[in-house]
Amino acid sequence: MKEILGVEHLSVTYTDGNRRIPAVNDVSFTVDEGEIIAIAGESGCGKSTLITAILQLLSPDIADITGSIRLNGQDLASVDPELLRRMRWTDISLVPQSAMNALNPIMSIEEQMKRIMAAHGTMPTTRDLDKRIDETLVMVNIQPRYKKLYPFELSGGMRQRVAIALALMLHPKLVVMDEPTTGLDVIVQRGILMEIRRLQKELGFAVCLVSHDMSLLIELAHTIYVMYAGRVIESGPSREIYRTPKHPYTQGLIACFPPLQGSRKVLEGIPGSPPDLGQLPPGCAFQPRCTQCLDICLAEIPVLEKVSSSRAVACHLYPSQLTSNTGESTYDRIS
Amino acid sequence: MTYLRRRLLFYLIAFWASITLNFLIPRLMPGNAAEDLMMRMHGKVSPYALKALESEFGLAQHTSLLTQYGQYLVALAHGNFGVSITYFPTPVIVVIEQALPWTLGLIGVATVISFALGTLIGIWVAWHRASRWDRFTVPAAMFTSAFPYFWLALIFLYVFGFLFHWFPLAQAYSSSLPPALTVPSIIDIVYHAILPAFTIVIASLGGWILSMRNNMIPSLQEDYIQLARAAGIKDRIIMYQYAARNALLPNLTGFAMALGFIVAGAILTEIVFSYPGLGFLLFQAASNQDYPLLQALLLIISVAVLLANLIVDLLYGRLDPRANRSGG
Amino acid sequence: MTETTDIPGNDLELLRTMRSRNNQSWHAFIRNRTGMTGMLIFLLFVALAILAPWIAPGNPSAITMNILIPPNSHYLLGTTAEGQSVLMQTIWGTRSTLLVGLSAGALATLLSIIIGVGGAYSGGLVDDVATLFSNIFIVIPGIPLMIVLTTYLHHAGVGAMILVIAFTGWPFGARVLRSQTLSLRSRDFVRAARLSGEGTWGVVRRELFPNMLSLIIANLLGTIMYAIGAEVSLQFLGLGNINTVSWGTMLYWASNYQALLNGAWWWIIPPGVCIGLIGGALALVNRSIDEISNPQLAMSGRSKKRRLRRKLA
Repeated sequence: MKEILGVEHLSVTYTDGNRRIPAVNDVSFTVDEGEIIAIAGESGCGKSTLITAILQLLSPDIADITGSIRLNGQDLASVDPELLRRMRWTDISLVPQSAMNALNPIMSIEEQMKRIMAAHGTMPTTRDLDKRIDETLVMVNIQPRYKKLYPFELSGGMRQRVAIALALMLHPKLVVMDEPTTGLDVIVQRGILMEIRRLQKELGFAVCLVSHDMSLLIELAHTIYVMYAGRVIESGPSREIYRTPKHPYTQGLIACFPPLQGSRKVLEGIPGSPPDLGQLPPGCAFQPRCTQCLDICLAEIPVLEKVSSSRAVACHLYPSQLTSNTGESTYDRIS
Repeated sequence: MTYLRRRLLFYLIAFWASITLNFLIPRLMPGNAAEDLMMRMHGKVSPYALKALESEFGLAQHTSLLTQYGQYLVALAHGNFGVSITYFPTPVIVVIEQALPWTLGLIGVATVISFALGTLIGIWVAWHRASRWDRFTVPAAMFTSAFPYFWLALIFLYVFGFLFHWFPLAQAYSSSLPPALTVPSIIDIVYHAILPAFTIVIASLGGWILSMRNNMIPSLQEDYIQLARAAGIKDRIIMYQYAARNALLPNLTGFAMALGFIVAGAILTEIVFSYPGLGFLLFQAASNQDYPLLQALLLIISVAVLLANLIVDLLYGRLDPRANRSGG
Repeated sequence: MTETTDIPGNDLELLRTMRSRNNQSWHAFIRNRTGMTGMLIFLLFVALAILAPWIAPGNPSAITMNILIPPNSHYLLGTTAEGQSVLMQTIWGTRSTLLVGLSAGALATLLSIIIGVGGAYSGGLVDDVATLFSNIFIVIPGIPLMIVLTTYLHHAGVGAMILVIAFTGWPFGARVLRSQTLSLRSRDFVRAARLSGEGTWGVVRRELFPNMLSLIIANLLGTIMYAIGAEVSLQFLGLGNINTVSWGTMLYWASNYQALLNGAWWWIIPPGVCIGLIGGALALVNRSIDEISNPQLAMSGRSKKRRLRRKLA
């Protein structure tokens, strides 16, 4: 299948005076046409920075960006600003984290939609434009008569639907969704989820879904990338990751959330909290919270390596073929 | 209650408060300023006018405060502010009517220009913040707004009027060309207004630049700005339609609150330029202890500022959809 | 790309804590060059006011025959139309202007605290009345009111002038302090202190004031600027005691003697520049407080809350 987004060895480091904070570290992944991939992780793991970098919204004044981002075959670093502006929303659009703050509070829904259309020169006759706006709203189950309303007059769920409608206005090839259901109550979450799945099937756009909610990701995504402290620590098809999570962090994440369908079980949390990206512990960043920690984990940062044809993990518990001879025997488990 | 109704109610109360304050000041202030005045006026005015002055200043001891208040309100309703002493025997209302258009023209135009210009510069430096222009503008704005209006007026008068002879030194029009709706007269009036208007603009501009910049910077951090950028909306439109339109709202509130202050500064500017508006009149009234004129001027200026505030509020209601519908 | 700098949500917190670590308010202020420059200029004027009799001994109003002399080696800033030294008058003038400015500023701030904080803390009808009161006084223009009041007072003395300026200078501060009190009042640590049975004054003193200090100081500086401006304006109009020496009366006499039309710029410039310097100095200090305390204000509130939560747990 055709690749839409290709991220290769992307690193983002914030700089403040002489302090440097690595927020994203050597992340690589691809999104193919019509594919749904997910990026999982707790807040502070660098996933917001990752998508902000992909969307080219980070200012070079505060962040050093290395690696490459290919969108629809074009290297974004070499694209001139006007072309980049045109590519926005037609190639890649965004459903933001909090629709409350992401909609302009003093513009009606209709005006916000019109502004986006106008920015891309797709301003047909008023009648066609009105029709397009109505259709898009109907698509996300909002009655067209609500288009005259302002964001503060809508409920949380409706705002989220409007945000999705905005993202789909120009039929983008890829939609980035940043915590699309966070902050909504469970029933509304469920509705939005069904909506996203239905729209994706109908329109066939690719999705890059970012969330801490593993059950949501497993439900929707084909492939999952789990991030911790700025690095991808595990990746693979979502069903497989759900069934046999390898990294202790992934195991913890899955244990945190009940599956949307299926039996209830006792929820376990991960002890401790995510590390300060400015002061990472030595060795594996997860090591202070890990229950299966080895000696080597305190000394060496594990590298993301393939463990099967479709899966990769960055953990010393799964030594790759190259190091397997020394791995298991030299380092004993710490209990 | 809707936003508009609540604001209107507030202005009604504020209007009543300034009328009442105006009534109370001569009665509460120590000393017997009003009696001095009566002594000075004795023999110059008709007994009837004297009686009117008496009731205006609460010297008629036989009537209760409440009755006096009633009489005061009735007189106000008839536009009867008494007789000016400076321009004796012209009624105060006539004196004020002649001065009002000059003040409205000068201060109104200068303030609107200054606010608009300051807001635009504020938007621009906030957008290019930490740039060379920003680093120059902020201290410059702080510096110019530290000087009193009237001192800047003195300096401009000296440099542009006295040294360079570019502009007239005083008055609002040439004595040879009485104001009329003819082209030469209008040119003459504008020519006389440029220097005082320039003073007001320069003295108040810095404040508007800084306040718009301060409102604009947090507005640029909002999520909807990020989304608009991600959506490929052009920078110019993000700057004005998204960021500035939102940042303008708190700035308008600041504008309304600062109006009293601006008017005060502008009044002193009028005095320096002998510009025949309310400010210059206020100065004359104060120098001559012309209490009837003084009181009426305070009332008129207060009401003018109240009205300007009301206009700003109406504008705010139009610009912020949240104001009208949620009552907040 | 635009030049705006943005850090996405989750990671912003991080950068903020990182920055606040080296921002311990007082040290931050001392290290803040803007603030220290302003503070030094201001203190210089205070020193000038206190030390006037030693720096410029003699009577600043003493009339001599050397009228309207441009600056020279003997009269560094020239003389007035009555032959007084402009330099001496400027130095001595600092006293009256600063005295009125500081006292009226302090008095007005006290009024703001009583009406703003008191109203907001009491809540209910008291707050409604206090708010209405300050909103009305905000829209009544101060200078015209002061002009009328001082006219009734016939050349107001220093005390009367302080009272008149304070009377018109409080409402803006009251409004700002009120909204700050309201937001603090609803925070956990204040609520907890109230529930734990601490008296009103105790809560105000121990919980509210420490958190409002930077705002109160900023407000005090702003009010002092306002008071200095008002004093100079009233003196310039000849509404105070015209025989005292102050920057305002200097300008009053200068314009009475048509100083500018006589080309005596040296008589006008010094008092104006001094006013501008003091105003600019206070604005610099205010700006640095703003820069330091805005993130700081939130941080101290939160750390306090955390401390309390730990205490309760």
